[in-house]
Amino acid sequence: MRIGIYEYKAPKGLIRVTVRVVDGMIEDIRIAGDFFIYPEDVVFMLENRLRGLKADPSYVGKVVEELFHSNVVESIGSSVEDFKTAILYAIKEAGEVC
Amino acid sequence: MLGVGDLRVLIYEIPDNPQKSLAFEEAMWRSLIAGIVPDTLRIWRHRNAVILGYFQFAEEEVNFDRAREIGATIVRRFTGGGAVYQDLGCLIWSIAVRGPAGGGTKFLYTDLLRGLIDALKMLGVEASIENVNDVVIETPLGRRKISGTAATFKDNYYLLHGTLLIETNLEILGSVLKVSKAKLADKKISEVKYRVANLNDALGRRFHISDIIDAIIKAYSKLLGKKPFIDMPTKEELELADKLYESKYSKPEWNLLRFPSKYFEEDIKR
Repeated sequence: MRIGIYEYKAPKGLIRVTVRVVDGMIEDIRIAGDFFIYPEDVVFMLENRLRGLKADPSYVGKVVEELFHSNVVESIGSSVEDFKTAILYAIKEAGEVC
Repeated sequence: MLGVGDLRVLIYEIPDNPQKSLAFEEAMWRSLIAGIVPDTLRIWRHRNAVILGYFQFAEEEVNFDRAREIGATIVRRFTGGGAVYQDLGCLIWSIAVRGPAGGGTKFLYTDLLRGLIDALKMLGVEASIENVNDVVIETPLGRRKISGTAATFKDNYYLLHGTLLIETNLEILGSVLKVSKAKLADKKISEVKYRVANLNDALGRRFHISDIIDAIIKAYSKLLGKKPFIDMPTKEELELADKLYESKYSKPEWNLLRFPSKYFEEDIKR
């Protein structure tokens, strides 16, 4: 089991991702910080969709993008790319990328 | 600007129970969305509280030892953004209104936030909006943040709430909140964002809280084109606030552990 933590400073707002990777799978992930995203539920939906997923950048990137594009997501000072970057770096920190 | 009707003004605070106070805030917001209360401006304070943004974890934002030492209550709010420290020297204002369809964050942080800028102008303070939702003033020592805001919206209902530092204990503020390394490394942001000031210190004059409250009421009624009337919370709001307090705002799962709002819903409805 490896834990990766990454703090990413978006133009406005800090995105702090903590991820627990077990056998190449995302066992748990939390996306925290002082960002603004609407609707707020998106954060929890994203965490839920990432749990149990293979810790592979292409899978993870796709899930993040799909969620942002299938919902009317509005954020200020942080973009889907910022969230993607924060999550991928955290996974990399955990050091179990396939 | 936003149509007819009056602006309800609630000067309603529970300074010594920030958890109840935040529960009431959510009750007020839900009541607006349910169509049972009119557009509302709320003015309130806390005696000694750390208020976390919706997406933050307490242990990442708060120096627990210091919080315990000073007896501060830690509460989460239902809007995003960063943690704040509040004592009676910090005025909290909330504006909850029906607005245009599709107004989104632009309506919140440009149009609605204008009200606070206008109120400060009435008091002779030239303030401006920076970094989307920070309110800053020029002081002899440079640019300082005097107000931070957070907001949410649902359909065409909007809520913006924020702080206004008048004479808060900045030593406590600085020691009870943690500042992340990534933020400090980002100089451009940190200079504005973490240099806060009290109105009273920054401008070398003392503001009376009643004058500030008057100005905020005047500015928002003018901005919204509505006549203000001082009111009390409704019975329904207070009952809902009690439920929200029992099921959510008194619970560590909400305040410290960041369980999603949905987790508490069933219990609130019971």
